[in-house]
Amino acid sequence: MDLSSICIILLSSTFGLILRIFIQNNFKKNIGFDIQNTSIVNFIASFFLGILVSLNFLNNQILLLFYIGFLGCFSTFSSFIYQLFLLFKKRKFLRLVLHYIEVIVLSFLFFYLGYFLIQYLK
Amino acid sequence: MKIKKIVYILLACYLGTFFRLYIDNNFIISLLGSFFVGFIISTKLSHLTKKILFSGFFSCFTSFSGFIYFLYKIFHQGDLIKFFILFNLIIIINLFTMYFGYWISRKMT
Repeated sequence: MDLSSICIILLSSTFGLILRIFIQNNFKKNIGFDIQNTSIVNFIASFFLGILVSLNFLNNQILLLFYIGFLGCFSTFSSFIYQLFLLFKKRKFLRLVLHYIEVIVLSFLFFYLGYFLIQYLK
Repeated sequence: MKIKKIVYILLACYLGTFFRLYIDNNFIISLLGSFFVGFIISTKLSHLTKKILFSGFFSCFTSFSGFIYFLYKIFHQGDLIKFFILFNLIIIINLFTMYFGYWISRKMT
């Protein structure tokens, strides 16, 4: 690993962190069942991931660094588990299962949206 | 005060990113992340330290996109039953690891 790739990782992770904190602080949406802002971050991240997978990012150095730096810092798995944990602690098991299914299904939908968008444009 | 907080969060974020690069195994990373998040929640740290740790270090240490990419690779092989079992198993194990960390830190104090 050379100096320029470290610089790209640092720069893109800074960008991802600031974007995530901005979204987590500023967007609060309630559409029927409430979609927390951490979930919005994860949906956008899986959309970008679909685009990257469709561009075959493992063969491209810059896209791989973008995946490690930007998407790794932008999406958060621990906040997702923390939301499930809060529901678990309050003994709201139905809400827990609903939230869990909703996040997985929607992030896979967004993933394939990005994936087929690039496949279609190619 | 505001600038200082942002600099601390950024430094924690870089540290998390390089730890993630160094370990390079998504399952172990998510387990470690959930355990320590559960451990730190109930300790008596200040609000600022918790914010730096949660939204800087642990959020950059664990990554949801790595998890989705792992699921995509399984899904792409066409093995639907394995896919279904794996993603349920990963989330349930992580949830119980977080609860375990929470339980340990409450026992200690």
